[in-house]
Amino acid sequence: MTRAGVLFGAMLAAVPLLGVAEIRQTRDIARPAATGDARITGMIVSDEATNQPVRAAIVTLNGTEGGVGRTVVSDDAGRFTFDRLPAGRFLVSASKRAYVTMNYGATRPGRAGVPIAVAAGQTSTIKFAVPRGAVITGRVMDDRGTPLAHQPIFVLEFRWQNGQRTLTRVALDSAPETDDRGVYRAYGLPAGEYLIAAAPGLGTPINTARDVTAADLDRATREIQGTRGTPATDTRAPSTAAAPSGRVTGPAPVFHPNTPDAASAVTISLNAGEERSGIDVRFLPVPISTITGTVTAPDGAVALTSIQVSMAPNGPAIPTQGFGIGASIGGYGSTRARADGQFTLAGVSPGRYLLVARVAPAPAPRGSPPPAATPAASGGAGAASLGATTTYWAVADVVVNGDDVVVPLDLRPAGEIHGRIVFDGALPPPADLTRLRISLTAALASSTTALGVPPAQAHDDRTFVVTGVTPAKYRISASGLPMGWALAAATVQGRDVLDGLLDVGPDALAIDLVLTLSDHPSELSGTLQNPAGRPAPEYVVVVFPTDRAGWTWLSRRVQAVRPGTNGVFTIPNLPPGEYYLGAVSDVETNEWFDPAFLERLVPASTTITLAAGEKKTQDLRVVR
Amino acid sequence: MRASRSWVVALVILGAAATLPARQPVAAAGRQSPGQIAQAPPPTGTGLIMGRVVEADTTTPVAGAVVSIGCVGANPPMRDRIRTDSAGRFVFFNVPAATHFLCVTKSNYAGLSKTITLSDGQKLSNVTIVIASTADVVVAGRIVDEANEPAVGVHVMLLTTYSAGSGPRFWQAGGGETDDRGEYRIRAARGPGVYIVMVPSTQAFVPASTLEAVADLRQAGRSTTEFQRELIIAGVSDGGTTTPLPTAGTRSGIAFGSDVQALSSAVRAPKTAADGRVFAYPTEFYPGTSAASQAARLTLHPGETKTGVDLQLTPVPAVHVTGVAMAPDGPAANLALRLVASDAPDFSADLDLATTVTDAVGHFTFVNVPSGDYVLRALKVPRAIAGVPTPTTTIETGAGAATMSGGPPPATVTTLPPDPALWATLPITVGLTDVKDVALTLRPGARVSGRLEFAGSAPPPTADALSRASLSIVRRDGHSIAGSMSSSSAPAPLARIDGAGNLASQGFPAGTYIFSIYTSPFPGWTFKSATVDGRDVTDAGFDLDAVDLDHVVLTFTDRPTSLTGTVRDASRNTVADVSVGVFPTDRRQWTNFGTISRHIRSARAGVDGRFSFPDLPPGEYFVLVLPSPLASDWQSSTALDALSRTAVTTQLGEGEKRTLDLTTTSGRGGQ
Repeated sequence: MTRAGVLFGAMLAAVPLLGVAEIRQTRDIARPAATGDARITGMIVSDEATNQPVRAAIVTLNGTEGGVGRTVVSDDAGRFTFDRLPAGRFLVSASKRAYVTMNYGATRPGRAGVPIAVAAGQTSTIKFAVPRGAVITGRVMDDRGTPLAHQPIFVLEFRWQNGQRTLTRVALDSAPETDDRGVYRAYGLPAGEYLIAAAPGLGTPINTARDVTAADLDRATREIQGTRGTPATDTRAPSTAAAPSGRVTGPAPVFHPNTPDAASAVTISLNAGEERSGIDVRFLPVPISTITGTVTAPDGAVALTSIQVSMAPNGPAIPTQGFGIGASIGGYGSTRARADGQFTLAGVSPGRYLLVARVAPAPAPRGSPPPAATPAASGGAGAASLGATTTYWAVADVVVNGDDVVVPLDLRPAGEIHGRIVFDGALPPPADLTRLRISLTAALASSTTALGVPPAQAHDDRTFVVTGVTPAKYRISASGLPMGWALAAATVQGRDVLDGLLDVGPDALAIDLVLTLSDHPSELSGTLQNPAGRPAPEYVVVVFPTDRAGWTWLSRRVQAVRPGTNGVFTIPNLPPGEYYLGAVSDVETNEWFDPAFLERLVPASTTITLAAGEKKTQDLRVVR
Repeated sequence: MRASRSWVVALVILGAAATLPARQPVAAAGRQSPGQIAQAPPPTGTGLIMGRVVEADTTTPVAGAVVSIGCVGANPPMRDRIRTDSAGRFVFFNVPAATHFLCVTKSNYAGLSKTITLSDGQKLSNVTIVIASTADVVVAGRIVDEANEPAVGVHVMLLTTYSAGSGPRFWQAGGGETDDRGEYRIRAARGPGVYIVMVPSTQAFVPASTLEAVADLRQAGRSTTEFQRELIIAGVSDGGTTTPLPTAGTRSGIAFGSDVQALSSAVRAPKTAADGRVFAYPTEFYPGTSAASQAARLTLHPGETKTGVDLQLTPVPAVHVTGVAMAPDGPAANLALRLVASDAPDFSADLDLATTVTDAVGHFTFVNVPSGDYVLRALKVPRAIAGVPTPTTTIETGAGAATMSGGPPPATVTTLPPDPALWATLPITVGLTDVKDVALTLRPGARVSGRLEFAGSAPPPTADALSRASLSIVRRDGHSIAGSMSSSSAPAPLARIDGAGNLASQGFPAGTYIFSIYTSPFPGWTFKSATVDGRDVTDAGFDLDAVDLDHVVLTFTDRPTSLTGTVRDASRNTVADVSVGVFPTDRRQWTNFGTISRHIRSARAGVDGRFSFPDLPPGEYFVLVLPSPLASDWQSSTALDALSRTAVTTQLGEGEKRTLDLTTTSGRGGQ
């Protein structure tokens, strides 16, 4: 994706004003004063050259520190007013159906806005444009050109996810679906590049079937002609056991115009407000296979009956929302094994898939036990986990290309990771840790996969156990942190695994995971100025480690932040270390995790060092 | 599809009412789940079937049709499926000697099955299957606002009639949204029939103090259950727990003083004039009225596309309606209140025009209410049901995730909570000035109690079976007790049976009710009668007001009737893909039967042309092959009157099993 007009600004580092490590007070959770005598008033206009007022737009305002959230509707002149505001910094955004939601001050849709700072008694007047959304319209047809009614359409784009450009569904106010004529219309789209796709679903009226062939018809004609005048006994022989010659074909997920392959799909580039018609999608029958297999387990470990076997595409695919039972719907399917472990998944189109079998322990009863008469113990949840006290799992990477496939799934026990929590700070460590959850999220690349790991609850003795861990590289996160404490480090044998990844091998589960919570996380803040010395809120400040090994997806050491209208930016909970600090005029969300992007930014960056617990203020100036 | 979702849910809350039309045949759409392949190899033989699929009117070959031996969900199971070539041809080899059903499916065509009897080694070469194209019934138009700008993302609802209670009732039968040009195009889900086009607009309000209380509870990680249920009934929450405010499913809210109006994506925001007066968009009906009684009844014919069904949405002056709700023991806090249309009695449920919940001291404020006549309603039915979580497995891949749920939740036995059900109904007229000091007094509903009797020699249901059974009590006129046309899952009072066969219920609002026992909850036993102190209330129903109704006796019999038969055409071939209807010759039983009539039924003839009506009450009936496509209001008195002229009559005595064959006039069923 090319970005016209992106500027890389070089900085001058101003003198650090403050570098004092101080214990942060526990923030009062009471709502800040919600009213005052400040005002933000303004006007919403369309982005057309005429700047026509946009009426009945929903304008929302949120305080950057939380607490204040308001919504108003623009009047027939496009005007709106937020009055009785407390002094503070506020983000404003505007939306309207068929328009693209814009944050005030954002360089383009989807980008962060610029906070508006108002002092007590002050009125700030703003004006900003919401662009008219672009439109894609077309028809969905079967392979013979018959329009298909009531067929959902997927509008997809590539986004930065898991460190790579990933095919993602575009969130639209209205999910497009074909009408009775097979016509769809996706509207309200931001300018950008899109793929259009359709996937067979329960409503797709294309059946999986064997194509009749000329050879079959010839053979049948010969057999019928041979019958005439021939004794009946002789007709038994020619009706051979030979199978019909046609292939079993059926529908598969398809991209505009008619390819099942995302790589060869035609990309639709839309300008703001553009309407593009004729973006038809034509289903193509593809060879359909059946996956069969057997789930096996160590002797007596688990009952095989009802073990769930699931399949999903392994690689770029249309993220359909449904899945088939006993069959694949667009590559997603699920079935249950029989008592002998055998399973069948039908209707599989060519592609690469992951098959997963998993038996989880029965969930512990929540809260008070259910009434004695409740049959929960004998049905439903219990059936899938007979006898299992640990999680058992099996994964197979399967390539299907038109032939039936047999897949063995050998269950093996999942592991546990034991961990403990260390408190580093002057505040008294909290006694109640029951809300603290430690999550392991598999870091996914196209070739790696993992089963979901349920979050672990911390115990009051500051230990936790993560169960059901299968081999993968994991990212560690914590939620429900006690007030005033931040997750400062996660280490295994002294090695940091918080910004890197925790690599769990097939047998290497003897891991002692230590989480450190700090009440004085280090922090970087400052003011960004333009060459004239005025606040430069139009830039995005990017901080990233000088050590390139730290340029990893979702690392805490790589952060981007938009300064307020007064140029002030704050990056809380930044781990100590040596960093580059740069600024760019535009960047796609999460693109800052792309090493190529950071590499380009290095020459225009300045270097800073942040000590443990330090609250550093670093003012910056754009010099060109 | 955010906007549509909350309205789709509306179907569910029709409860028993929704199940009635579901029993009617659906116009065959020729749709199948893809990927359905015979699991076990079918038996093979030495026969051969070759033929063509052609279109009914033109006899042109139909390419890409799928022909199968055996049909989906039928016995014997489906075997090989063949897709026809460009000449419409298909062939099956190795077919065993038997009577086979050939099933044909093709998009935009009605599904069809044909009976073929093959002898050992027989080779059939010229089997012709004729299929007819179908076309949706469609309503299309354009919605603009008062400035003639397209009204984008507006939900448009189609309502059609089915017969219930006192006569035809309107319920949702299709819906869609306007696009960026304000245009909509909706399939009329019940096919030809009488339709109303509605742009619903429920002004939903919630006290800011409630939002703050919920936000505080969430921040503290505590349960918000005490608020959630009523917020869901009031339509300002979908029960989600992740959003900071209970406005999931709503875009946001606009504060008006100490109350917030929820802005759902389907409801247009109110306008504030320069002088501070507020204008709200009311619910509108085609051709341009906000009165349900003035809505045009559009008659849609088979295959018709009705275009130009346009509407202009115009905001009207709105005022505040404030008051206090009192329960017998003090102010009614956190109670869902609904202002419903007073002129839509022929809707299957209340039409909510504004909703709110009371605050902690029972005060309520409807912020922006357009002028009109309303009924203010409240119904609080205590509920005690424990959900059982189902385990889920998440598979993640480089491209997405699929969440797999476990099996269906196990059935639970519920017991009636001791707290009384409370209700209130109050007519309110709203003009151009605020309505203040409305006093809404809740009172306990009347309960029903009695016992079940099992008249017969079969073993009576076990205590376990009795305590798992549920019975429903519905309004005799078919109107929903608790639900509305828009809001989801308002609970209705429940009736329960204990292990000893005693019947008890929660309290009902005043009205005339009937036991709705369409399908007996006890295998082998059929519902026969309901009496109160010896008075038969099976079909007559009973009145409830302030006094509880005791001494109800529900009698079940082990001698069920059955009416079965086969549909054939003039040349004695069995005919599939048709519906058979029965209804009583006694016209008094055509109305006032609650939501579902035990006497008026339809059944689909199977692929072998067979139909079956188990458990009909004894009596005299009309029986006929129903026309196709079937009008959505075929159960209305007018339609039944017309149908009765071509029907045959039959008598069913107590416990009688009768067989009756029907003949169609054409090969495709009575047209």
